[in-house]
Amino acid sequence: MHGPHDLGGRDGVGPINPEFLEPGIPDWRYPFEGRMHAVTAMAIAKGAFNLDEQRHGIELMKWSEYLDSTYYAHWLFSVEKLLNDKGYISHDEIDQRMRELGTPEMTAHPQKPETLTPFAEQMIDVLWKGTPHDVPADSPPVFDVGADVVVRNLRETTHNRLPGYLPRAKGVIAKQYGAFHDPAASAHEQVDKPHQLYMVRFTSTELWGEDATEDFDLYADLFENYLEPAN
Amino acid sequence: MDWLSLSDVEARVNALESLMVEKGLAEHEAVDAVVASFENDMGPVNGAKVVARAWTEPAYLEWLLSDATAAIADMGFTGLQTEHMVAVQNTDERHNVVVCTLCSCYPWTLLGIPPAWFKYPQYRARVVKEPRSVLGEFGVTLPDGVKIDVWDSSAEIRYLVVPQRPAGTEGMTAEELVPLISRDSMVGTALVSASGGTK
Repeated sequence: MHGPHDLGGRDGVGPINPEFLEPGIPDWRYPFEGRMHAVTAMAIAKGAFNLDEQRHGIELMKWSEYLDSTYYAHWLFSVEKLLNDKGYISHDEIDQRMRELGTPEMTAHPQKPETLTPFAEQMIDVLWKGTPHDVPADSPPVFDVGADVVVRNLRETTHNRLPGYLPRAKGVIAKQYGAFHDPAASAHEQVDKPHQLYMVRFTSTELWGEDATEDFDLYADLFENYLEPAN
Repeated sequence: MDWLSLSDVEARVNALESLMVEKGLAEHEAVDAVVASFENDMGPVNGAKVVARAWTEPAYLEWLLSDATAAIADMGFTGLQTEHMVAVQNTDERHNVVVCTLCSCYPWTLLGIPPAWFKYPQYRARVVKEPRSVLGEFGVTLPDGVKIDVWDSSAEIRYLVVPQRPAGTEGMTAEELVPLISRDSMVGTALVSASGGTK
């Protein structure tokens, strides 16, 4: 879906915040950001929801709230919605707990505990081992390297990983990656469904018109059903 | 709930963590451990070790460019958001720059948590349309003849830019080169200089 998250090519957003370019700015600017990141990873490790559901939850934010809020507010919005909708923790419970706890004093840059609990060990293990998303293919790739393709004009309002600036653009298959799990099936059905993935190359004039101000190539990673042969 | 209020968001994250702990979905100490791991163990020094080895071992560079996932795992670097890697090399003719227009996909094990500029709308909106102009805001000016390739990490593949090794570092070992290689140079928003970078 082309929600507020789908920012590629938008005009009018202004320059990069100069504050963000100063040396030494921490990647987690506020103590709650690291904690939000960690509890999200834990909920996923516990099986409460998956990464694609978490991404889709962010896509459902209001445009005004998405654009003006801090980055980890997006994660909070999505995780809270998923835990509420799946029956783990309700919005009301969080409201109530917020009133009880008031304004917290969070410690920035916590130390790793001397001894780790089994769950902490498990989480550190997940961090360093990862969760691969490639899966055995159920059919061979349709497009060969070098094939001319055009991005389908998909306007579905469910989860996908098709940036909104790409539909109708012509590109060339640069690489076959093999099958990866389909993000839509993962987000909406919680299943791993194989889907052929490609690296696709576009020219800047194809994307932004003959009057494009800059000449460059752009590569995006696109699933097979986002593409059709160019004729 | 005011999503735009920093103090509201902070208080709500605190309430959420408290409830998640009660329901068995999280542990406070495990949160500390994960945050500390991200802040102390995962980060651009890991990516810099990969780049420095590629600069000093031609066979490793070739492996990195043809099968980055395996070559990076050979250095011991695997993990979340680093499962499927592609490395792209800067040369005299070509400069690479990486973005995720849909969220902020980034190889955590190699580069850490993405910097603020990578996560906010301005970079994500503009670098796919006017990369030279955006690079200018980072203080990077490329010669006119250098072609730019922009990589939008729209699926589960993550990208590592192998920056150009600066002149004047010919005699240096991989270990000596590591501190010169900045985070931003591995995303494509900085060049490496023989005197080192700050970001």
